Amino acid sequence: MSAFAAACKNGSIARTVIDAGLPTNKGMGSNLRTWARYPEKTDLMMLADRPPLLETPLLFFLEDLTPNDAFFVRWHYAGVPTRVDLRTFRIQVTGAVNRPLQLSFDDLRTKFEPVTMTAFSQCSGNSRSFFQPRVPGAQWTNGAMGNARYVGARLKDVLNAAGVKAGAVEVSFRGVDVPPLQASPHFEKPLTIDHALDGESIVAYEMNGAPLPMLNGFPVRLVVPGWFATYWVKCLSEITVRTEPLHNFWVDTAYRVPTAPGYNEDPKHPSEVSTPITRHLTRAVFVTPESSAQLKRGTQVEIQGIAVDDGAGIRRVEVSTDGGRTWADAALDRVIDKYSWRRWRMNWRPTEARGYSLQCRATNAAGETQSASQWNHGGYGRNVIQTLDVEVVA
Amino acid sequence: MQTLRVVIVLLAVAVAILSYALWGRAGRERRAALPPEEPVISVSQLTERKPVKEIELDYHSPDLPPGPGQDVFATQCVICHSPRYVLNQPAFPRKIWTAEVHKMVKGYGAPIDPAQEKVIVDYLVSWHGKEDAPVQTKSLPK
Repeated sequence: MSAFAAACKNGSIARTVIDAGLPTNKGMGSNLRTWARYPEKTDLMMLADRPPLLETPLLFFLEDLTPNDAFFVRWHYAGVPTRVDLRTFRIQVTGAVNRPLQLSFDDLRTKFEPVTMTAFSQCSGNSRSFFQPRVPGAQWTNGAMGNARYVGARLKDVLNAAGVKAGAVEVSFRGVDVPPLQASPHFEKPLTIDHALDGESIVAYEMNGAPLPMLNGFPVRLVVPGWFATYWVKCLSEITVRTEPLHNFWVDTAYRVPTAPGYNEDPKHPSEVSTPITRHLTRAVFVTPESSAQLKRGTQVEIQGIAVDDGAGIRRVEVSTDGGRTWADAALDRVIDKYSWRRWRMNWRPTEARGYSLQCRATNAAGETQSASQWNHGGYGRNVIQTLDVEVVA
Repeated sequence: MQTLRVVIVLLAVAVAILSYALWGRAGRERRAALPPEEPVISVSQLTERKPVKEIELDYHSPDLPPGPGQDVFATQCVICHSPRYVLNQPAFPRKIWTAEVHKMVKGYGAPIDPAQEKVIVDYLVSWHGKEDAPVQTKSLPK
């Protein structure tokens, strides 16, 4: 019996469907995915059910704020938190501090100045399925990302309330999720003490005007703007100030990228040195049209997308309709917030009935732009210039 | 005429089966009824009015094809993740599956002994992988 027939017999048609959705390393993939609806969520593309890995369909990125029920979901272990009681929930601030704290949800809300911030976040492995050669990991297309307005307390204010002792080098973060086995490493991520005290990160208790969905980290989530979501610890419950750097699987083995610019390495000769993934690389992503769209010759279409970076600020987005030979500037929407994505648009009237190869590339205020090729063994930080193949009909 | 009828019937059956395989299941999942909308309680009133948030996760785990090693996979791997995590991966060469299974042991503490590692890799390669491409640069010494 062939593997396909075996999979069908067992009801595992997901494999066929998913593979059919990734025809090439170009374009946006397609929506031929398995869909599922999880609690507090709308229909999302399900990459895995346990732990839930849910991807946001592109159409939601037409809005500046990604709705909570459409926001992507990524957990590491099957045992995700499913119940929180605010009457007993506490965030512990311990380690090298003068006054260890136990903060309730309402302490966080009422004892610290609320800060509102619109920030972009994305999984370190967003768009991983487009790397060639393919790499293991969650096979996201471009939807492991989102933009949301958060309200929270400054991490700096929380740490100052506890009083950071001299000699602190790092602050690390854990959530209420527990590993499935004694031997499994607890998910915990660190920031340097300077980063933690720079006033930018917040402990967020509100997302787009509402409590966070359970699967996005209810009741509070760390927001580290400009940095990949692996640092945005969900269901945050333990903040530890450290006098020695944290070493664990999540720091020393996982979420590491080559030190070369653009997180780049040669598949045949992978880099021997690596470093933890940190900030977002500059990148533009097409939102519309989608690769499945049929455009009409002589009819104007708006090409639209979003561009992201680490907070320096998107300054320019260029679009090519001839596979990268010539480029024209797209119009940039207003800046929403320092760490938000920025929308861009360009009107286009295709003159011939044929296939077109569209490309987009962003440049930020620091002069960082995108390159035509990129690969790393973890499939992290993809920011290669995107190519979108569309069909124009008469 | 008889042959034509048989062909038409067979074609119809094939189309029906294919449609089910491609759209039937996903379509049913997508059409699931929306739960009644609950009013959003603002964060300032949450502790007082709705202090407990609890969700229940549905079962979406697929079955994997039968074959030698399916039992070991089903007991040792599924502790931490669903089979869908594997279904979602490309059909990797043996070398990558070997490294992945070993990462589960070394990195994530999966209770898999070396003999079981081999069984699991064989199982994954058998239906969702391929043997490594032979090294072409050098021929082996005779």
